[in-house]
Amino acid sequence: MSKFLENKISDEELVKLYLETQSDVYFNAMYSRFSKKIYSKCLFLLKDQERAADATQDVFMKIILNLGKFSGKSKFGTWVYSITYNYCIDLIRKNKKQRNLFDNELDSIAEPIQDVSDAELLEIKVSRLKIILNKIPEGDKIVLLMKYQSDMSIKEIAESLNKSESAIKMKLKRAKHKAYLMHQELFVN
Amino acid sequence: MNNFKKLEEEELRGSPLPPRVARDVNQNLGVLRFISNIIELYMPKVAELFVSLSGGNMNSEGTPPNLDADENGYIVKKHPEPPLD
Repeated sequence: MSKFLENKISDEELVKLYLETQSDVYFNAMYSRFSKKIYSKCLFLLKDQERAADATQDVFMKIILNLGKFSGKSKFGTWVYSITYNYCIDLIRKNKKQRNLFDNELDSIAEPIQDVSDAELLEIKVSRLKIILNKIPEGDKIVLLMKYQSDMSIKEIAESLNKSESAIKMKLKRAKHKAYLMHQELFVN
Repeated sequence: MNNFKKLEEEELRGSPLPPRVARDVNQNLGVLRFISNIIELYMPKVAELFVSLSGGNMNSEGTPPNLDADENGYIVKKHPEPPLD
């Protein structure tokens, strides 16, 4: 049964089965599919194992309590990660007493932005990428993770962060530019 | 797999998910189920209590035996049944 659940059933079907039966079997299958990725995202954003473990627990309870609200418009994974990112964003905001991670003052300054291709960004070595992501602003890091780690579309990121698609496109462009500059500064020059 | 996803895998290898998370999630789920069972079991009783406090009676079904509804749906007194011959 568990092998069957691991491989054959889509996430969306699994949710449907859990809602219909409330069975622990389906709950455990959901937990084993998503808990590690939720924890990994929380850990990378919160940078503390204890806080990340607590956040994973809270995010999972949020998911279970709101499962009935999952409309199926997006993939279930996208919905799960959207909840995870938003939960971590709230924690970071509270911690830094920063009201909005995505309205950076510096972003409003007209500065020339280089168009960095996806290929340029994706060929950065993993060890370097980790350092770069930890040096750029949190908001930039989050949009890059949403796009390239969680495979969320511009529309999905915009809906998740309650921003317009054009604002997200611009944010992503700036984030890629900052990551590229940081790479040049730390590893090339 | 791109470098962002590889980074995620590396992070997980470096610090795996603590087992206490699964235990705590299961405990919370158990508490939630217990509360929802309690609500399911006692909610009708609470509603009944409020109705009886306000002077009503949830146990009576339809109209009392001495009353009836006419063709327009108004409550009227029942006519005494004619004696059987």
